[in-house]
This record gives sequence, C-alpha cells and structure tokens, in this order.
Amino acid sequence: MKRYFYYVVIMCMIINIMLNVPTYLIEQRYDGAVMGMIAAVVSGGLCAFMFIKSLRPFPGQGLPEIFRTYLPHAVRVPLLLYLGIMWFAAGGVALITFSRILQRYLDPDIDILVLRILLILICSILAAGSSRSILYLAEIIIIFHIPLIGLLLIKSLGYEYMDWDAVKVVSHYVKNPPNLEVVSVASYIFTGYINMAVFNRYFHKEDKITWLWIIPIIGIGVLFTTFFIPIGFHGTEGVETFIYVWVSTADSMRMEYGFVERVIYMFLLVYLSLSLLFITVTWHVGAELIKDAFSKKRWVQTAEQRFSWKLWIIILLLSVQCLLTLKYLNEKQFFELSRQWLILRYISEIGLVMIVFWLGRKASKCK
Amino acid sequence: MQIVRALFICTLLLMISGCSSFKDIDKRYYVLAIGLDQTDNKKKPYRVTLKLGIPAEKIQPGETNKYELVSEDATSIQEAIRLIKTKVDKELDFGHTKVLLFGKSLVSQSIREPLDWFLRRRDIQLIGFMGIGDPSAKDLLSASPKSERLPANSLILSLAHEGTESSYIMTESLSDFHRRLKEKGKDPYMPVIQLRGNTIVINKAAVFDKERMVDILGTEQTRIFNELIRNNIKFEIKTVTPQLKYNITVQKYKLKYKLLSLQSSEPTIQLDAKIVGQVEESTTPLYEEDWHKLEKMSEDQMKERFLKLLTYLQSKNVDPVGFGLRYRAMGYIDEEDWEKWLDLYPRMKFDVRIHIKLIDTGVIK
Amino acid sequence: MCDDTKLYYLIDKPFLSCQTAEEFTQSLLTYGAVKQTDALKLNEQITLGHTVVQHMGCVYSVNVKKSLNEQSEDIKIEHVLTGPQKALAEDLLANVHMIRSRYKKQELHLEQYILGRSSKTEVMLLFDVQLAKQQLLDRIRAKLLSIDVDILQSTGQLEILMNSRRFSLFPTMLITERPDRIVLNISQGKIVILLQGSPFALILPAVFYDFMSAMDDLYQAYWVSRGLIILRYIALVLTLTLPALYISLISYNPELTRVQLTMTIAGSRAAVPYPSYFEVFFMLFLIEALVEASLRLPKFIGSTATTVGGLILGQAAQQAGLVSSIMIILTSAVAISNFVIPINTMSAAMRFVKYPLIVLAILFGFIGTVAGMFFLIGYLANLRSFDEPYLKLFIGEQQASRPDKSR
Repeated sequence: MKRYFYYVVIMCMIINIMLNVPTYLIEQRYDGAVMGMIAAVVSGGLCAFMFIKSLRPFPGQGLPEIFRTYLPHAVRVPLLLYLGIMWFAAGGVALITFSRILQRYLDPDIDILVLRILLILICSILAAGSSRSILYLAEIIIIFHIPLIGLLLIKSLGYEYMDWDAVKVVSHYVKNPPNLEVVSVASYIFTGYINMAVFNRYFHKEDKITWLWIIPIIGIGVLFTTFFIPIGFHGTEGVETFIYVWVSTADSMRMEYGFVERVIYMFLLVYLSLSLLFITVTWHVGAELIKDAFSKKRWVQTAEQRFSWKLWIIILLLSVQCLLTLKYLNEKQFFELSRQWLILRYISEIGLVMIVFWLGRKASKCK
Repeated sequence: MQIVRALFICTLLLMISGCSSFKDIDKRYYVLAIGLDQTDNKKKPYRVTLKLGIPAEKIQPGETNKYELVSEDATSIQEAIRLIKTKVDKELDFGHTKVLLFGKSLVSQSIREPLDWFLRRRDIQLIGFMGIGDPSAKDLLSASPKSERLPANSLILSLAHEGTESSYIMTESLSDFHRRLKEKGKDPYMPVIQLRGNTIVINKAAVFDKERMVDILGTEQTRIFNELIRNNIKFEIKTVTPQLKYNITVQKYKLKYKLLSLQSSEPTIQLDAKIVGQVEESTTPLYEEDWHKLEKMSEDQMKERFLKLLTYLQSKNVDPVGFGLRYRAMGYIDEEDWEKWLDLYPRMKFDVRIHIKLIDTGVIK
Repeated sequence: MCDDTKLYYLIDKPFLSCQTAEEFTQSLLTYGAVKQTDALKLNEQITLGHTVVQHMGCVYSVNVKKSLNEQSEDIKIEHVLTGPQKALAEDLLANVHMIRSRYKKQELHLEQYILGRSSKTEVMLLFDVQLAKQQLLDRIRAKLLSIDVDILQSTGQLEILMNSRRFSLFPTMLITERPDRIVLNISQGKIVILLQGSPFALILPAVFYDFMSAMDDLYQAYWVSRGLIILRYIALVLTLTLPALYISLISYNPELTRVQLTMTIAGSRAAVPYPSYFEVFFMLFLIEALVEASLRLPKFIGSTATTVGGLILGQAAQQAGLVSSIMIILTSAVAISNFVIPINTMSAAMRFVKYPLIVLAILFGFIGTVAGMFFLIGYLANLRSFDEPYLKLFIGEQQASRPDKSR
C-alpha cells in the first residue's frame, strides 16, 4: 500500500510545468532562481519529512479525523474549508493553464469553454469515486507515462542543440539571493506528500512510509531539468521570449526515427493524461476535506462508496470558477493571479505542516 | 440511472459546439515550404511565396512532386497569407512547413522583423529548417528535381541529413536560429541554397550578427565552419604536398576549446581537435610511409585552414562558435565583464592543436 | 423422463424377486426411495422425474430420472494448445464429478440451491472452505436466495441476475467452460457456481486481469507466456484506440506524422467524398455484422461468407471510392485484435467501448481520445467485483487472482 504514496509524490513533481513553474523561475534566472531552487529543496524536503513523521501516530486517519479529535469546532471547520479551497485552486490552475495550452497548440478552433467542460466532467466524475480507486488510477497512469517523460528528458540531455555553456552561465548566478516568490514557486515540486491529508485514511500501521530521503534527491533532479533544459535549448536570452517555455522546448526536438516526428505532440498528449490525473487527485482531496467540514459525524471506513453524489456536487460547484475566469481574466492577469496563489499556497503549506507537527507531538506525548 | 441521464445530457450539450475544427485531411492544402523575399516596392516590402503540395496516391519519383506555387506582395507577412488564401480552394495548413527560405536581399537588410511571424504562430514547427535562397527564395522554391518523390522533399531530406550526409550542408533549425539571435555570445548562421538548373546546391553558409547577414562564406570555408560548429559529422581532410596528395575520412571527431589568459595582454583561445580517421584516396601508395609524418602533415594543413577561418570570422566581428558564451560560462557574468569581452574578442589569438590518428589506409596499400 | 433401465433395476426387478412385502419396502428404501406424506408434493415429484410407488398403504418416490447429455463436450470457446481439451458437460452431477476428480481435497464443499419458478434449475455452489472468504460466501448465499425469476437457463442469465447493477458493461464474473480453469480458481479461493443444463460455470470474484489471462500462460514456457501476455495487452489498446486515432489524425491533426506519410494518406483519401467518420462507421458496421452473422451461419456457408465479407467487400468498397485503403487495414487490425482477448464477455465489452471513444474523437480529436482512455481506466479502477478492486496493478503483491500464482 505504501508505494501509492510515491506515485502521488511523483505526479506532483512532474506536473510543475502545468503550473507555470518554469516560466516564473526563468523570469528570475538572473535574480536568484538558482539559490531559490536550492532553498526550496531544503524547505520541501524538511516539510515532507515533518509532515509524514507527524502522521505516524495516526494510522488510518486522515486530517479531518485528526482535527476532529484535537481542534475545537470553530477552528476545524474554517480550516478545513480553507484547505479544501486551496486544493481546488491547485487543480483549477492546472486545468486552466493546460486547457489554454491545448487550445493554442493542438486545436485552435475548439471552443475553450467546451474543452474545459469536457475536462471538468471527466475529472469530476472520477474524483467523486473512492480514494482507493484514485490511487490505483494514479499507479497505472504514472507507470505508463513516466518512461515516456524519461525518454524525453534523456533525449533532450543528449540533444545536438543542447547548449551546456548557457546552463553554466546561469548556474553562475547562484550567488544572488532569492525572494519568496522563487522559493514558493520551486517548492511546489515537493508538495506531493500533502495529499496524504486524505489518503492516510487507507494507510495503516504496517504501511510505514520509509525512504523519505528519496524525495529531495528526485526533486533536485526534476527541478534542475525543468529549469535548465529550456535554457540549454533556447539560450540565456532567448528563453524569455516564450510564454509556455517547456512546450516550445519540446517543439524544438526532433525524433528522427520515431513515429511522431515532432516531440511536442507526444509531450502534450502525455501531459494531458498526467494533468487529468493531477486534477482528479487534487479535487478529490479538496472535496473530501470540504465534505467533512460539513458533516457532523466522523468518517468511518465503511464499504467503499464508488460514486458519491455529495462529492460530485461539491466539485461541480467549485469548478465552475474555472469557467468564470474565462470571462473575467485574460492570460496576463491569470499569470499574475497564479503567481500570487503559489506564494499563498507555500505559506499555507508551511502553516499546515506546523499545525500537524504540533498535533503529532501532542498525540505521541499522550500515548 | 440518474448519472446515466445526466451524462447523456452533458454529451448532447458538448456535441452542439464541438466539431468546429473537424476538417478532413484532403480538404487541406499543405504548405511545405515558405519563401520570404524583399520587393523593390517600399509600400509592400514583403513577397511571400508558398509551395503547396498536391498529394498523390502512389509515390513515384519525379511524377508525384507536383506542387503549386503561390506568391503575393504585401506590407506584412500575415496580410500576404490572407491574400493568398483567396487564391486557393482549400484551407492552408502550415503544420508541415518544414523549410523556411529567406531571400538574399531580405537578410542583408534585416532578419529580426520577419522572424517574429514565424515564432509567434503555433503551427510553424520550431524544428523547421531555415535557409537563404540565392538569388531569391521564390526561385529556389520553383526547383523540382527529377528524383523528388514529394514536393520540397529534396530540400527537407538534404537539410535534415536524412538523405545525403555531406559536410558542406549546414543545417539550422528555427529554434536554434532564434536562440543565437538573442544570445549574448553566440551569433547566428544559415545555409545558403542555390539553384543550378533544376537542382539545388547547398554548399555555402552565411554568418549573421544580431540584425542582418554579414557575409557569405565560400565553399571551403563552409566546410571548415561546419567542422567548427558541429561535433559529430563525417568529413574529409585533404592534404596536398608536393610529393603526396591524399584524403583522410574522419571517423571520430571531437573539438574542445578553452579560453586562456584573459587578463593578460595575450588572450588566447585554445582549440583541441582529436581526430581518428582512415585514408580514402591517395595518389601514391601510403602504407610504407611513416604514418606519423603523414599525420603531422595533415595536422599542419588542417591547422592552417582552421586559423584562417577563425581569424576571418574575427575580422568580421561575428562569433558563431560561441566563444562569448563560453566566456560567460567561465564566471564573467557582470555587465562590465561583457563590455570587456566585446573589446577582447577582436584581440584574441587562436591556438589550434590538432591530433590526427590514422588507423588504416583503406583496403589497398 | 424416466430411464427404463433404472426403472427396471430399482423397482421392477426387486419387486419380482422379493419374497415378502417388507423385503420390497426394505429394498425400496435401500435404493433411495423417500416416503412421501404430502399429496400435493406428488405432482412436483413426478415432474422432477421421480416415480411414485404406492405400496402397503405408504407412498414412496424414487428418482429414476434419465440424465441427458452426460458426455463432456469439446472445448468450443476457450481453446488452449497443450491443456485439457474437454469442457464441462451439460449435466450438473457429471460436472461435479469432473471437478472433484481434479481437486481431491476434502475441503471442497458443495451447496445446492434450486432457482427458477418454472424451470426449477439446480444450482451448485463450489468452494474450498479453507481458502474462500467467509464474508463473500455469506453475500453470495444471500444473493442466490433472493433471486426470483421464472426461468433460469444459462450461466449468462445467472450472472446478470446476481449483478446488483442494472446497466452493466464490464463483466465482474468469469464464465468459463474449462474444468482446469475452474479448479485453478477454486484453489485460489474463488467461488464457482454450476448450473444444471449449462456447460458453463460462473467464477467469482473476477478482476480485469482474469479476463485477459488464458490457461496457456501456465502451460507454456516463461518467456513465451510473457510475450503472449504483452501481445494481448497491446492488442487490447489497439482495438480500442485505432479507429479513434485514425479519425483524430485524419481530421484534426494531420501534422502529427511525417510529411511524407501525410501526403500519402491525403492522396489515398482523395477519392473518398465523405468525411472520415463515415468511413470508420461504415467499415466497423460491416465488420460487426460479419462477426455476428458468422455466429449464426450454417457450417456449410460459414467460410464462404467470411471470404466474401472480408476480402471482396472491403476491396470492392475501396475500389468504388467509398473507403480508403488505410481504413481497410485498420478495420481488419481492429477486428483481429479484438479476438485476441481470451474471454468472450470482455471481448464483447471492448467491442462496445470503442464506440464512445470514436464519438469523443469526432468531437475533440486527440484530446478526446486521450481523455476518453483516461476516463475508461479511471472507471475500471473504480469498479469492484464483490469488493475486490477491478483494475489494479499487482506489482509486489500476492494477489489471489493471478493464474500463475497458486498457493
């Protein structure tokens, strides 16, 4: 059972492209992005370690149950609502960004509203299922798509036009200090562990999660490839021209002997599956948190609910805001909004880890 | 049951506005190559030429490379395309535009402005091949070699090195060109494609600075330029002395360079080339000769050629190899350092060291 | 309905050779006669094939039913190269005999039920009492007792009745005719239901992996069986996605492939006047009709029809300009890959699933295809077969439902 934890973590690491993380980092490449990334590795690894360790005294319980035991009603409900909305925002940002990318690169004539409705329908129906099914789904999708991503990365590292000099130039800017934005943006890579908030319900005493030290190591690899490969392909100055940097980087590669010659198509379709998975997982977690905020009874592991109407309604209501942004925000405003959201999310994440750490200490003292 | 009904209604809703981009493959006209030229008309400076491919069911070399060439003058590229659309019956599809040609007069003026259209559009592949058409892009696009199976195929195959692999053909993709155009420390280049009768010849290259074309290199220079820029190509080394004349085919080739003593009065760029090759052609039997002597002679001659090209590029103040970028990669990242480099580059001395290893002399002695 | 020989040996001969009436009563009782007291039940007994004997004021009923179809049949649906080649018979007791002789443990328990108001079909539940889960057994027993139907004649019908969902597409119980498969599943803790009058047994619970495994995987060398399993999954993906990918490629994003291929495809489609989805539906309809018809064709016309349908119709349609040549290859690949799936019920389900994918591809192109496949995988992962997860990768876990892992 414990391997499912790693699937969720890997998923969060890979999806960073859909949250515009490379774009924000590259904007700051001369101003402390490199140091910020190193700081994010430290911070993310520490948070992951603390959070998972603190969940050890609570086998089989998710965050809502832990809060119910230790926090008063007045604190618990708003906290759960706030967290649920933050989770929804994560999925929502990925949905909006990716639907824009799809519409721009794959199919310019499609009505973006219809595309979003399709993605929302698919993800909401699957997210209203049981947590276990979503973990199984994550396993299958990750196992099939990670080799393709790996192939892409390996190909790009050895590519003829990959310029390691440009990479070295930017790495010399490590001496510049980072600001909060860079650290929060880069730390999203490590946030996969926080989905344990709901999935911990299915992890019991024998599923102790070990090997946590792998998270920072893989995270460093992911972070540096997501930042440096576009720089190697587009140069230190040219990389700023592109809005969606990684998609253009994928477009600059050629697979001479593959069936699909333009790597961009393989890239977009693989990321479509991964984004759908990410949206499903985050919306499921968010909806579970909000459902528990409104329910009077504590959650018990009964026979699995294969499709929960309550969850579906919650998800639909909150995902409508993705459609509303079409009307009220243009692309530039949306970029700014998601940047601010990432900073807010980072602060909330640290706050949440602190709270859970404190509760964990309390629980192990009581035992 | 409810969920099925709900899904059904949603599906119907989706069907209402879907299908908008449904366009069959045979209702599209594929633009296989674009040519951009400069006209003499000040009001309509751009001449856009599109080579549209006419599909055929069975591929026969020389028969099925039928195409249609449409051309239009306008103030901007987008306008020209729009005017061209009125001339054709099917939807123009740029998804397969693999070749982007620019006229010689256009690139002598400016390449920055026209490049914007190519980069901004989503369907022009960033792996598309760029080239300069000599005398003009339109003439090049009308070429239709007899062995071509599909229109513009010969251009695509030779530029992609999928067909012939020659060391005179330089390839430049759109993404690489854009990177070099913007980069501090690396300058762009493009192959020059000429028309000879009905066939195309690619054996020259042009070097650019950040704005326009600076010079067209000769054939021999292009070959050495190719050896400088690219690392894994197959090429030949010709050695001519009064007694011997022989060609070495290179099997393994590695070029490294270092920037040394930048603070002193003699800043040097040291280039190290390691070559492993075998003799392909010779006027006299070579087996009995002292191979070290042969290697030394080839090394000296190659060193001469490299030096000549490097100093030539230096005199034109272009840096396509990327020495400036290497300078920055060494840690000189401040603004003042870059100013220093601009002053340093014309003064740099080149120290070329070549190591050739002959492994055999071919099948005969 | 009565077997003459049995009648003779059980009733006539003892009657004629017994000296006293008590001896005859004794012999009747020894031969399995049951004393009947309720006059109403007598009609029922006679329709079940018993003989009613009135002797010395008491009424007895003796079972002299003639059993039909006791011979085990040949394998018709699940063929295997080197395994046993005889399937179950249509008689319940003969099947039980076959299974018992392959699984000689005393833990193999049987429970009999009678279902169906008019058909009064005997249904037998088989399981290994040590390995089967108690919860599951209780659930199945409750389910069987709650079935209220007029006529029960086939295992497929029983499956639908036991299924709690009304609109089901994917089978959650395995229907098989192979005794070796049944015995293997019993040894893995599954429960088997046999039906009188049907040579097919029902195995439950069954997960996705079971439907894609053939008994050949156990009987062949390791690498061979691994290769065949991979082939099956590739065939599954092909049969689902090929038509959808074709439509997406042709009508939405032809720039996906190389330029040379695109020009060839455009050239071959130049003669076809209709949009691509018409081609796809036309060819798929032909193939589906062909498959359905070949089930019902008399043996003599069978092979001629396949030749006509497959070769000539397809070729002629292409010559007439109705479909392109690529479509013909595609359709035959789809049809053939479909039948690589070993179990018939899953193969039929997959034949159905590709149509929604085609519709999604028509509306949205590649996005629709990928999103549709994602939804399908998510839906399958969400299904449960009697509380067992339906689609789950079994890496590093000892799961009971793999045919090559026996306890």
